[in-house]
Amino acid sequence: MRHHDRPVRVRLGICLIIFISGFAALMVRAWQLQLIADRRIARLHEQQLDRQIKLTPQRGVIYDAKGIQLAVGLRIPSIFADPSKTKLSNSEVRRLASILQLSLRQLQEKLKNHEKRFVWLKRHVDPVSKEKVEALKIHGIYATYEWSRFYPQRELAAQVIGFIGTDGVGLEGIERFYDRFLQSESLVMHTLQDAKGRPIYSGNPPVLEPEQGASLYLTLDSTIQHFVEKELREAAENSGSKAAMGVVMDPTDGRILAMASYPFVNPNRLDQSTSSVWRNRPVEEIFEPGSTFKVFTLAAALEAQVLSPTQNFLCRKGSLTLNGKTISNVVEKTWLTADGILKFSNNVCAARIGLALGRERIADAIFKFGFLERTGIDFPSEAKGLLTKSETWRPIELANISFGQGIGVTAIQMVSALSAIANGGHAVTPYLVERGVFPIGKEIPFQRGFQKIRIFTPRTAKLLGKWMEGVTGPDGSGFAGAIPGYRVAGKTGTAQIVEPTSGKYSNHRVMSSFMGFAPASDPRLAAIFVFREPQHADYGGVLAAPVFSRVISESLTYLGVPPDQKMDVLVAHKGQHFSNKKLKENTEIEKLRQDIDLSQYDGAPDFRGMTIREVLSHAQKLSLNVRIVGSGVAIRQEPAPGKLLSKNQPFKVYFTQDHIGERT
Amino acid sequence: MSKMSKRGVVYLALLTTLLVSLLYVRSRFFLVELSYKISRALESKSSLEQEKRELSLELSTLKNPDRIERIATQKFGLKRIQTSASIVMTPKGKKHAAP
Repeated sequence: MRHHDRPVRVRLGICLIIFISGFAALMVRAWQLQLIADRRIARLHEQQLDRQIKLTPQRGVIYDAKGIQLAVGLRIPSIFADPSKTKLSNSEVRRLASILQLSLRQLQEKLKNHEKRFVWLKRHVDPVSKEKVEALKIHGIYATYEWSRFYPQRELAAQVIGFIGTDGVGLEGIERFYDRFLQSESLVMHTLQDAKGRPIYSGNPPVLEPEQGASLYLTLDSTIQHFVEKELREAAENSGSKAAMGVVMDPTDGRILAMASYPFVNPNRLDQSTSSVWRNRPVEEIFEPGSTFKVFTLAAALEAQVLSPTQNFLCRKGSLTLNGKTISNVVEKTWLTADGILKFSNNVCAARIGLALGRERIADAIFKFGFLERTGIDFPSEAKGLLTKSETWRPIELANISFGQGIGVTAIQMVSALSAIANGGHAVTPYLVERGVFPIGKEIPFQRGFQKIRIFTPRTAKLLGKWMEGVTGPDGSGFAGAIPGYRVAGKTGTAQIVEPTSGKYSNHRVMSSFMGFAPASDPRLAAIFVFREPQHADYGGVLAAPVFSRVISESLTYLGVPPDQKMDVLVAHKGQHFSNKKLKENTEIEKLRQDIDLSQYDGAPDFRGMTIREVLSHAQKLSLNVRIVGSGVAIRQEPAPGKLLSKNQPFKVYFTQDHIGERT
Repeated sequence: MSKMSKRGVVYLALLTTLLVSLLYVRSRFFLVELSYKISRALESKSSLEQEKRELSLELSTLKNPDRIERIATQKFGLKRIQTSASIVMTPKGKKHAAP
């Protein structure tokens, strides 16, 4: 029996030896893999298990002054490949190319380098295409998300907001100027992945949303911007103008309430437009202002004391010939005082005043009023004025400059200098961004507003304001710029354009403009509207002045600015007209006013984006009865910002940790 | 008896080792399972946030002044108010009313 068992025992022994040897070999290999450093194996491990997820930065949102979104970020799918892992059959290449709308050659070109581990196949595709690509289940072809920019208001203030490139960098406008605040750094997150490439999150909580850049609140008001764009479009189309621009500014502090450039552009579809329409004309385009500049010639003369309000000037056509050229007028008058020069836009008299001032004094004034420098607006590529050296001026050049020919300015320079007249003589620096806020509520400190630099004396500002009111009077050149109920100070301009071929002023190509401010008694809005090469109705007083009147009239009503001019009022349901005086005496109207007692109300402040501490501090200053709901950053409030709020009304502010959570 | 108890100890040790190993494997399995759950929850959070962003974008689009004016004039036949037809009532001591 024992003898019989021996071969079995031998076989068992051999099996045992083989098994033990195999096991020992495995142990040695395991020891080798686990404990001996090997770069090749480490790299293989990294490739198989480690997954790097690049989190592209979320750009801050751009809002208008009322909190309406003008530019927002949205995650959009993009398709990429790892050519080192990709081996596509011909049918797969065809299907993939068809989904991504690429030619076969383009796709093969992208995938041909098998040493590469990453290549974009197509960025910013639609979600349906992404699902179709994923359904192909091709090894080495992946989808990821990137932040893309959307402009929900489409053409509204498009050239001011600007746009970004595919890599999320601001290329134009506010997007470019404030790029460093709007952007945040991209993050790379490391996670493990399983055999199917799915991420496995473990350890510390992963960050799925990269830190968001600061949000910007512009000074632009979407409603006023809409008024401007609507009127510019209508007037430009009716007159056949090649281009147009408009700016509305608060003359007291330089806040830009609207800024538009026609033709308009939809920043969501830049591929359908040419780069020439992307320019923000009021800041970037230089033009000869024409007669609107007479205001500043007269300002310079008043400042230099070479002009008195009662002084008479001979202004008949043909009465002034310089260097063989005769200066002409549109409206014929023989003698005019300073207010009449503006009212009838008289070139001869403006030239006489310029000649009386002399080259040096007028050049100094042009510099002092800011026409040779950039205004300092927070916008890229701002142009500065153009003026030849005063030493080279002959009398004809000096005369031309006096009525706005032979000098190049921007619309933003004109409206800034006009604002100084409106506010009593102080220089203003125009600005477009009111405040910037990081997601945690931290505010970016910007230096803004009113400068204490005086460029006109109060007397000059007051006189010019009064004379400019005459322009919009019944017989003034800019009567179409008048607004019923409001005193309006304005000035028309129709400047000839230099023919690029001959270098001479064209007889039919002009720039028509109107600038002004209202209400003249306490200016709230200053504006300029300029039309390039209108085909018909080309005088500034005929084309640009009505645009000013409609835009500013609508804006003043919208802003709740009461009229400063006496006018009859039609009282609803009574069918009777009352003068202002009678209206005051009317007990029923007065009773209605007292019943409402608006003095008990005020506009609710905007606490959104603030921390609890900041809200409590502000509320204490405003004596508000605030109730805090939640913790973190304020996201909502009752009543909403700007709504009427009585002094003892409860005020609720809702806070959330969400924004803070996204940053940790 | 003593031989049996030695064998018992060995079996017990083996059994304990087996149990501990099973528990360890189970805990690792549970951990991976949990990681997948976290992964799904985070993806869901991210997609909800995306939805919120899309809705907010849609709301902004609907607030477009041009669109509102078009609906007001074409659908409801409204007209823009003339300055002369409106009375601005300002709070006492204030220069203008809130817009």
